[in-house]
Amino acid sequence: MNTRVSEDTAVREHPAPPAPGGRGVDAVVANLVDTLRSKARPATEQVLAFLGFLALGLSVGLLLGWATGHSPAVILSSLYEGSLGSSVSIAYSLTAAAPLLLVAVGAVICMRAGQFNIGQEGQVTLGAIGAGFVVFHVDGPGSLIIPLAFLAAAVAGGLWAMVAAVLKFGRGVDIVVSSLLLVFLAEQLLVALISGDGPLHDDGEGVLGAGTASQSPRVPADAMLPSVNVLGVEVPSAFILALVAAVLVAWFLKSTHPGYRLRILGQNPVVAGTIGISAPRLGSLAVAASGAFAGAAGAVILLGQSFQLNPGASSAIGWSGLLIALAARTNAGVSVLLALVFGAMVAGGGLLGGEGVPVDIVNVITAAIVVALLCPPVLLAALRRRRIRRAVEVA
Amino acid sequence: MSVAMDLETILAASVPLTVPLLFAGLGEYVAQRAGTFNLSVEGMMLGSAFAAAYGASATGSPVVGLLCGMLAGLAVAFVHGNLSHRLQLNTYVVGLALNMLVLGVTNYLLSTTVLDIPRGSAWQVPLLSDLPIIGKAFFVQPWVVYLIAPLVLLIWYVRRTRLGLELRAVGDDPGASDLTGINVNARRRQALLFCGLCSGVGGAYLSVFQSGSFTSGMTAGRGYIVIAAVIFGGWMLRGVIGACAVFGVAQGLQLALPAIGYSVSPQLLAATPYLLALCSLAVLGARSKRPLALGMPFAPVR
Repeated sequence: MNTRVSEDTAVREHPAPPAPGGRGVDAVVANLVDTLRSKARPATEQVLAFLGFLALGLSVGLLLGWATGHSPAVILSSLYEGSLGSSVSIAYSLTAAAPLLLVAVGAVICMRAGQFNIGQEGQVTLGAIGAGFVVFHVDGPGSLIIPLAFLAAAVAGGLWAMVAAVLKFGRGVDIVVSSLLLVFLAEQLLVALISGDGPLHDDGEGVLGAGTASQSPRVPADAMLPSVNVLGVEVPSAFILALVAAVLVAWFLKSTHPGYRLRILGQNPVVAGTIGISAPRLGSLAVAASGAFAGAAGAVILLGQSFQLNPGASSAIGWSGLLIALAARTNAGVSVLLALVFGAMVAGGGLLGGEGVPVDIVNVITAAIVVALLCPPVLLAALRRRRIRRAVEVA
Repeated sequence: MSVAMDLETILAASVPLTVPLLFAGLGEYVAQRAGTFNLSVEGMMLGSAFAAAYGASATGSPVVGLLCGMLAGLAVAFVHGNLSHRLQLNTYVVGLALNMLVLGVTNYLLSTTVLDIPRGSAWQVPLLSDLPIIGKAFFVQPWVVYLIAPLVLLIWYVRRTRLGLELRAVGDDPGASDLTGINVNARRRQALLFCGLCSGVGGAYLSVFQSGSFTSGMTAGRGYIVIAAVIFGGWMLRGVIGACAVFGVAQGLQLALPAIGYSVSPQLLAATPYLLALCSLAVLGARSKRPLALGMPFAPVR
């Protein structure tokens, strides 16, 4: 029943001309191949729409600032100074963008495979826990600890996501629902581990006295993520990792055979089944991969930003990363751009506070940008329809 | 200490925590049955909590606060409905973005305003409030709480009308609904608006009637708990009410158990409802009454 509905909408979304020759599944396959290939659209139109709506989103935020008595010029300039103004602020933007991009890249994989895993927030938390176990319980040089922590984080995040995948393919539980529930379990698991008798608990200073706060020890200095100096900017290694991951995933989805099968599974599960793609196997793999990327983001947060586990360690990175992937229409390249915008907003917000403007305006601007970014495809589709209608009228 | 007193303590702690979940949960139930996986319920609650606090503090009247809260919930629902059921944008993106937007707007406005909220007073239901154990917990509450009863009755009644059937139909099979002449997206928008209204009451209860204050991000994930409760309740009215109570009691126990001298890991308590929900889903599997087209956009063919 469920698959029938989705197949229905998938076909309806792409009213391509009837495929020449072939019937039934063959025709649908031909149709599918066509739609997979015809993704290329006029690029300038897209870029213009992107920039236009970016400006629109930004102006909504500025309007709110203006309405409450803060000059838009001040807001803009401090946002710019804080995010792009100096090499330090650029590095800060990239640091903030790195975990977001990792989460988004993972989300792109599972969304393309048609597996709607929205539990990245929990998988990030599990990643941070996994990295924490390595960092706080394994002795060794940083060159050993850091890769080990990333491995543990990816495995922990991947396994957590697998729970949702197993429930889906084993018991038919909707993955949206199960992955969402797992987010809250992860949250409680983290707090249990870092408080009281938990194995990641720190006995050091707490607000109410030694050992009372729910927190882990601090990450030792040699396990902190290093940065690489590129053209005078201290580029955090996590960002380079995330960028490489994004490029690899984009290449994997576009140009490899498994990536192609993954996209077919996402576009039309019925066709995928007919041509011998095992939805349980490929689907679970995609979900596990997305969890692993989110887990790696958890390691990045612990080893590169917070240096300590606190309740809410993932600080909504999972939600934001998911948002980026979806707002980018599950496109890895656009995700990079959006992650940079998000990172710049976080970094720029840091400076806004100093100007007496409440930092939270950054959230408003970012959310307005996301909503605004969702509109261009709708607009472009309307434009295209109009153009086709004109062409038909002329003919 | 007697068992009765312990029970009374637990109930007294649980009921105020259950009320906002129930209001929002009933709304979310309707929205989900109509096919919207509404993540923005968190934003609806937070926005309405702030609007209610603002309205009540500006006019000195909790009633005006409640109305402001309902308006704010409606506003979020209006935006969500039009973006996802008119422009066909992905409902998850819209929901997450709206949550972020509302969090930003409320925090921003909170730092530029000073709130002085008049608290809604408690109503004592005659006779019933004298009942042992449950009397104080259930029948000495702010008047808003008693709105739950007519709300449940309303939903129960509407389920038996043509409107209720249509609302469920657009959640289960939008294609067939469209063919029979139901305006699928309009029905979905209406369900969302109803959800906004209910969440608005829940949010207003949080800030004006329960705590008498508004703090940054005060819903603290209650919206997501509500979604979990609708899932746990198996998308059935009585299930959702029961699930909200389970989540509320789990929260209440975290407060009440230390007070009556037990120590149970608060994390375990908080995690139990989610675990129960996951287990019940795993047992039910595909047999659960999940609306078949939950979260799927519908574009009518013209």
